[in-house]
Amino acid sequence: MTFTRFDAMSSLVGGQLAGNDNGTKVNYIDKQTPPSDAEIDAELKRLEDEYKANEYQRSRASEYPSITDVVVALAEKEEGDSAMWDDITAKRQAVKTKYKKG
Amino acid sequence: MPDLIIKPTNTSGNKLILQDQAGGAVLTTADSGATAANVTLASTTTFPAGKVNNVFRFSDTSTATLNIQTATVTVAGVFSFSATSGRHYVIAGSQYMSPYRYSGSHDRRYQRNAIYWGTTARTSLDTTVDTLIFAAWMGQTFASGESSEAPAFYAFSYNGSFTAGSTATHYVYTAISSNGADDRARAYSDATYPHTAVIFEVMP
Repeated sequence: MTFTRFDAMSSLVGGQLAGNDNGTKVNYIDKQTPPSDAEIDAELKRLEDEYKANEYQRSRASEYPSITDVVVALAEKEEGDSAMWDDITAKRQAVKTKYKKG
Repeated sequence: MPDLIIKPTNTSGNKLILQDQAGGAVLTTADSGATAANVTLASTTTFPAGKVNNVFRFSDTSTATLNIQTATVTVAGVFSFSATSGRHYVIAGSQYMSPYRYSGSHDRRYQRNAIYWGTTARTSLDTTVDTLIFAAWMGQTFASGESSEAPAFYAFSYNGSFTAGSTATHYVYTAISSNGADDRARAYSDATYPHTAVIFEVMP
Protein backbone atom coordinates (compact mmCIF):
# COMPACT_ATOMS: atom_id res chain seq x y z
CA MET A 1 0.00 0.00 0.00
CA THR A 2 1.23 3.47 -0.87
CA PHE A 3 0.26 6.33 1.37
CA THR A 4 -0.18 9.79 -0.11
CA ARG A 5 0.47 13.18 1.43
CA PHE A 6 -3.29 13.62 1.49
CA ASP A 7 -3.54 10.46 3.63
CA ALA A 8 -1.07 11.96 6.07
CA MET A 9 -2.88 15.30 6.16
CA SER A 10 -6.20 13.57 6.73
CA SER A 11 -4.73 11.45 9.50
CA LEU A 12 -3.32 14.54 11.18
CA VAL A 13 -6.32 16.86 11.04
CA GLY A 14 -9.28 14.45 11.02
CA GLY A 15 -12.77 15.51 10.03
CA GLN A 16 -14.06 16.40 6.60
CA LEU A 17 -11.67 17.47 3.89
CA ALA A 18 -11.05 17.11 0.18
CA GLY A 19 -7.91 17.32 -1.88
CA ASN A 20 -5.56 15.82 -4.40
CA ASP A 21 -3.18 12.97 -3.65
CA ASN A 22 -0.04 15.08 -3.32
CA GLY A 23 -1.74 17.54 -0.99
CA THR A 24 -1.00 20.64 -3.02
CA LYS A 25 -4.67 21.60 -3.09
CA VAL A 26 -6.79 20.76 -0.06
CA ASN A 27 -10.12 22.06 1.25
CA TYR A 28 -10.41 21.86 5.02
CA ILE A 29 -14.18 21.61 5.20
CA ASP A 30 -14.25 21.64 9.00
CA LYS A 31 -11.87 24.61 9.18
CA GLN A 32 -9.03 22.46 10.51
CA THR A 33 -5.59 23.99 10.92
CA PRO A 34 -3.41 22.85 8.00
CA PRO A 35 -0.39 20.84 9.14
CA SER A 36 3.15 21.90 8.30
CA ASP A 37 5.26 20.09 5.71
CA ALA A 38 7.41 18.64 8.50
CA GLU A 39 4.33 17.31 10.28
CA ILE A 40 3.07 15.78 7.05
CA ASP A 41 6.43 14.13 6.34
CA ALA A 42 6.58 12.70 9.86
CA GLU A 43 3.00 11.41 9.68
CA LEU A 44 3.64 9.84 6.29
CA LYS A 45 6.59 7.94 7.75
CA ARG A 46 4.53 6.90 10.80
CA LEU A 47 1.71 5.55 8.60
CA GLU A 48 4.17 3.60 6.44
CA ASP A 49 6.00 2.20 9.48
CA GLU A 50 2.73 1.21 11.13
CA TYR A 51 1.55 -0.50 7.98
CA LYS A 52 4.78 -2.48 7.68
CA ALA A 53 4.66 -3.42 11.36
CA ASN A 54 1.17 -4.86 10.91
CA GLU A 55 2.10 -6.93 7.88
CA TYR A 56 1.99 -10.14 9.93
CA GLN A 57 -1.61 -9.42 11.00
CA ARG A 58 -2.79 -9.05 7.42
CA SER A 59 -0.96 -12.21 6.37
CA ARG A 60 -2.39 -14.22 9.27
CA ALA A 61 -5.91 -12.91 8.72
CA SER A 62 -5.98 -14.16 5.14
CA GLU A 63 -4.96 -17.71 6.13
CA TYR A 64 -6.75 -18.23 9.45
CA PRO A 65 -9.74 -20.60 9.46
CA SER A 66 -12.98 -18.81 8.77
CA ILE A 67 -15.19 -17.47 11.54
CA THR A 68 -17.86 -19.95 10.45
CA ASP A 69 -15.45 -22.87 10.86
CA VAL A 70 -14.41 -21.62 14.29
CA VAL A 71 -18.03 -21.29 15.43
CA VAL A 72 -18.94 -24.76 14.16
CA ALA A 73 -15.84 -26.25 15.80
CA LEU A 74 -16.70 -24.56 19.09
CA ALA A 75 -20.25 -25.87 18.96
CA GLU A 76 -19.08 -29.41 18.21
CA LYS A 77 -16.58 -29.23 21.04
CA GLU A 78 -19.37 -28.19 23.41
CA GLU A 79 -21.31 -31.17 22.15
CA GLY A 80 -18.42 -33.47 23.00
CA ASP A 81 -16.49 -33.74 19.72
CA SER A 82 -13.26 -31.71 19.87
CA ALA A 83 -11.67 -33.06 16.66
CA MET A 84 -12.54 -30.02 14.55
CA TRP A 85 -11.53 -27.64 17.32
CA ASP A 86 -8.12 -29.34 17.67
CA ASP A 87 -7.66 -29.12 13.90
CA ILE A 88 -8.46 -25.43 13.87
CA THR A 89 -6.12 -24.75 16.78
CA ALA A 90 -3.33 -26.55 14.93
CA LYS A 91 -4.00 -24.55 11.77
CA ARG A 92 -3.91 -21.29 13.70
CA GLN A 93 -0.62 -22.17 15.34
CA ALA A 94 0.86 -23.08 11.96
CA VAL A 95 -0.18 -19.71 10.54
CA LYS A 96 1.31 -17.91 13.54
CA THR A 97 4.56 -19.78 13.06
CA LYS A 98 4.56 -18.97 9.35
CA TYR A 99 3.99 -15.23 9.95
CA LYS A 100 5.83 -14.28 13.10
CA LYS A 101 4.95 -11.09 14.94
CA GLY A 102 7.23 -8.12 14.42
CA MET B 1 -40.19 43.77 -58.61
CA PRO B 2 -41.35 40.38 -59.79
CA ASP B 3 -39.34 37.22 -59.09
CA LEU B 4 -36.25 36.76 -61.27
CA ILE B 5 -36.11 33.18 -62.46
CA ILE B 6 -33.09 31.66 -64.22
CA LYS B 7 -33.81 28.19 -65.47
CA PRO B 8 -32.31 25.79 -68.03
CA THR B 9 -34.46 24.62 -70.90
CA ASN B 10 -36.85 21.95 -69.80
CA THR B 11 -34.90 18.93 -71.10
CA SER B 12 -33.58 16.22 -68.80
CA GLY B 13 -29.90 16.71 -68.01
CA ASN B 14 -29.77 20.41 -68.70
CA LYS B 15 -28.18 22.37 -65.88
CA LEU B 16 -27.75 25.85 -64.63
CA ILE B 17 -24.11 26.17 -63.54
CA LEU B 18 -22.82 29.06 -61.44
CA GLN B 19 -19.02 29.30 -61.56
CA ASP B 20 -16.40 31.16 -59.53
CA GLN B 21 -13.63 33.20 -61.20
CA ALA B 22 -11.46 30.11 -61.58
CA GLY B 23 -14.17 28.39 -63.54
CA GLY B 24 -15.13 26.02 -60.76
CA ALA B 25 -18.80 25.19 -60.39
CA VAL B 26 -20.11 26.42 -57.08
CA LEU B 27 -23.79 25.77 -57.80
CA THR B 28 -25.02 23.18 -60.25
CA THR B 29 -28.68 22.42 -60.71
CA ALA B 30 -29.99 18.94 -61.43
CA ASP B 31 -33.34 18.01 -62.94
CA SER B 32 -34.55 18.47 -59.41
CA GLY B 33 -32.53 20.28 -56.75
CA ALA B 34 -28.94 21.48 -56.90
CA THR B 35 -25.41 20.77 -55.66
CA ALA B 36 -23.30 23.44 -53.96
CA ALA B 37 -19.53 22.95 -53.94
CA ASN B 38 -16.56 24.70 -52.37
CA VAL B 39 -18.90 26.99 -50.48
CA THR B 40 -18.14 28.66 -47.17
CA LEU B 41 -21.17 29.31 -45.02
CA ALA B 42 -21.22 32.52 -42.99
CA SER B 43 -21.51 32.24 -39.21
CA THR B 44 -24.89 33.96 -39.48
CA THR B 45 -26.28 31.13 -41.59
CA THR B 46 -29.47 29.71 -40.14
CA PHE B 47 -29.46 25.94 -39.84
CA PRO B 48 -32.50 23.73 -39.31
CA ALA B 49 -33.55 22.72 -35.81
CA GLY B 50 -31.89 19.54 -34.58
CA LYS B 51 -28.73 19.95 -36.66
CA VAL B 52 -25.53 19.31 -34.72
CA ASN B 53 -23.65 22.55 -35.19
CA ASN B 54 -20.51 21.85 -33.21
CA VAL B 55 -18.85 19.11 -31.19
CA PHE B 56 -16.64 19.86 -28.19
CA ARG B 57 -14.37 17.01 -27.14
CA PHE B 58 -12.60 16.88 -23.78
CA SER B 59 -10.06 14.67 -22.06
CA ASP B 60 -8.79 15.77 -18.66
CA THR B 61 -5.53 14.14 -17.62
CA SER B 62 -4.19 16.87 -15.36
CA THR B 63 -6.58 17.38 -12.45
CA ALA B 64 -5.12 14.23 -10.84
CA THR B 65 -6.87 12.06 -8.32
CA LEU B 66 -9.16 13.80 -5.88
CA ASN B 67 -10.08 12.45 -2.46
CA ILE B 68 -13.41 13.66 -1.14
CA GLN B 69 -14.00 12.91 2.55
CA THR B 70 -16.99 15.14 3.05
CA ALA B 71 -20.72 15.25 2.57
CA THR B 72 -20.22 18.68 1.01
CA VAL B 73 -20.70 18.49 -2.76
CA THR B 74 -17.26 19.11 -4.22
CA VAL B 75 -16.33 19.85 -7.82
CA ALA B 76 -14.25 17.05 -9.33
CA GLY B 77 -13.67 17.76 -13.03
CA VAL B 78 -14.50 20.83 -15.13
CA PHE B 79 -14.88 21.33 -18.88
CA SER B 80 -15.50 24.77 -20.38
CA PHE B 81 -16.57 25.87 -23.85
CA SER B 82 -18.15 28.79 -25.72
CA ALA B 83 -21.92 28.39 -25.88
CA THR B 84 -24.47 30.36 -27.88
CA SER B 85 -27.71 31.59 -26.38
CA GLY B 86 -30.71 29.46 -27.25
CA ARG B 87 -28.76 26.47 -28.51
CA HIS B 88 -29.01 23.06 -26.88
CA TYR B 89 -26.00 21.22 -25.49
CA VAL B 90 -26.05 17.45 -25.17
CA ILE B 91 -23.43 16.00 -22.84
CA ALA B 92 -21.96 12.52 -22.60
CA GLY B 93 -18.98 11.73 -20.39
CA SER B 94 -17.24 9.20 -18.19
CA GLN B 95 -15.10 9.43 -15.09
CA TYR B 96 -13.52 6.67 -13.02
CA MET B 97 -14.72 6.70 -9.40
CA SER B 98 -13.81 4.64 -6.35
CA PRO B 99 -15.57 4.85 -2.98
CA TYR B 100 -14.06 3.19 0.08
CA ARG B 101 -13.82 3.27 3.84
CA TYR B 102 -11.31 5.74 5.19
CA SER B 103 -11.68 5.18 8.94
CA GLY B 104 -13.81 3.29 11.43
CA SER B 105 -16.00 0.29 10.79
CA HIS B 106 -19.16 0.79 8.78
CA ASP B 107 -21.21 -0.74 5.98
CA ARG B 108 -21.00 2.15 3.48
CA ARG B 109 -18.99 1.88 0.28
CA TYR B 110 -20.73 4.42 -1.89
CA GLN B 111 -20.54 7.99 -3.06
CA ARG B 112 -22.78 10.56 -4.74
CA ASN B 113 -21.89 11.61 -8.28
CA ALA B 114 -23.50 14.48 -10.16
CA ILE B 115 -23.08 16.73 -13.17
CA TYR B 116 -23.83 20.44 -13.22
CA TRP B 117 -23.66 23.31 -15.66
CA GLY B 118 -23.32 27.05 -15.25
CA THR B 119 -21.68 30.21 -16.49
CA THR B 120 -19.54 30.88 -13.43
CA ALA B 121 -15.97 29.65 -13.65
CA ARG B 122 -15.46 26.55 -11.50
CA THR B 123 -12.34 24.58 -10.64
CA SER B 124 -11.77 21.26 -8.91
CA LEU B 125 -12.46 21.24 -5.16
CA ASP B 126 -14.87 24.18 -5.37
CA THR B 127 -17.82 23.63 -3.06
CA THR B 128 -20.24 25.97 -4.81
CA VAL B 129 -22.18 24.41 -7.67
CA ASP B 130 -24.69 25.67 -10.21
CA THR B 131 -27.54 23.95 -12.06
CA LEU B 132 -27.91 20.23 -11.46
CA ILE B 133 -28.32 18.02 -14.54
CA PHE B 134 -28.08 14.55 -13.02
CA ALA B 135 -27.15 12.92 -9.74
CA ALA B 136 -27.00 9.38 -8.38
CA TRP B 137 -25.44 7.39 -5.60
CA MET B 138 -22.98 4.74 -6.69
CA GLY B 139 -21.70 1.83 -4.67
CA GLN B 140 -22.98 -0.73 -2.22
CA THR B 141 -23.95 -1.41 1.37
CA PHE B 142 -22.48 -4.37 3.22
CA ALA B 143 -24.55 -6.67 5.42
CA SER B 144 -22.66 -5.38 8.46
CA GLY B 145 -19.89 -3.01 9.45
CA GLU B 146 -16.48 -3.75 7.97
CA SER B 147 -13.21 -2.11 8.97
CA SER B 148 -11.23 -2.91 5.84
CA GLU B 149 -11.02 -0.35 3.05
CA ALA B 150 -12.96 -2.64 0.69
CA PRO B 151 -12.84 -0.18 -2.19
CA ALA B 152 -15.33 -0.37 -5.03
CA PHE B 153 -14.51 0.64 -8.62
CA TYR B 154 -16.93 2.21 -11.06
CA ALA B 155 -17.17 4.22 -14.25
CA PHE B 156 -19.49 7.17 -13.76
CA SER B 157 -20.96 7.36 -17.25
CA TYR B 158 -23.17 10.39 -17.43
CA ASN B 159 -25.30 12.20 -19.95
CA GLY B 160 -27.71 15.12 -19.96
CA SER B 161 -28.51 18.38 -21.70
CA PHE B 162 -29.25 22.04 -21.14
CA THR B 163 -30.13 25.08 -23.22
CA ALA B 164 -27.78 28.04 -23.01
CA GLY B 165 -29.42 31.19 -21.72
CA SER B 166 -26.59 33.44 -22.85
CA THR B 167 -23.71 33.58 -25.28
CA ALA B 168 -20.76 33.05 -22.98
CA THR B 169 -18.25 30.55 -21.69
CA HIS B 170 -20.17 27.73 -20.06
CA TYR B 171 -18.92 25.16 -17.58
CA VAL B 172 -19.98 21.53 -17.33
CA TYR B 173 -18.55 19.61 -14.40
CA THR B 174 -18.77 16.56 -12.19
CA ALA B 175 -19.14 16.99 -8.45
CA ILE B 176 -19.02 14.27 -5.83
CA SER B 177 -19.50 13.76 -2.13
CA SER B 178 -19.17 10.95 0.37
CA ASN B 179 -21.04 10.32 3.60
CA GLY B 180 -18.53 12.27 5.62
CA ALA B 181 -15.09 12.07 7.19
CA ASP B 182 -15.10 8.27 7.56
CA ASP B 183 -15.83 7.63 3.88
CA ARG B 184 -13.61 8.51 0.97
CA ALA B 185 -14.79 9.08 -2.58
CA ARG B 186 -12.10 9.19 -5.23
CA ALA B 187 -12.41 10.79 -8.67
CA TYR B 188 -9.72 10.21 -11.27
CA SER B 189 -8.50 12.55 -14.01
CA ASP B 190 -5.00 11.55 -14.99
CA ALA B 191 -3.09 10.04 -17.88
CA THR B 192 -3.97 6.50 -16.83
CA TYR B 193 -7.62 7.23 -16.09
CA PRO B 194 -8.67 10.33 -18.03
CA HIS B 195 -11.98 12.04 -17.46
CA THR B 196 -13.59 12.41 -20.87
CA ALA B 197 -16.66 14.11 -22.26
CA VAL B 198 -18.21 15.07 -25.58
CA ILE B 199 -20.65 17.98 -25.83
CA PHE B 200 -22.82 18.35 -28.92
CA GLU B 201 -24.17 21.77 -29.82
CA VAL B 202 -27.63 21.34 -31.36
CA MET B 203 -29.59 24.01 -33.19
CA PRO B 204 -32.91 25.01 -31.58
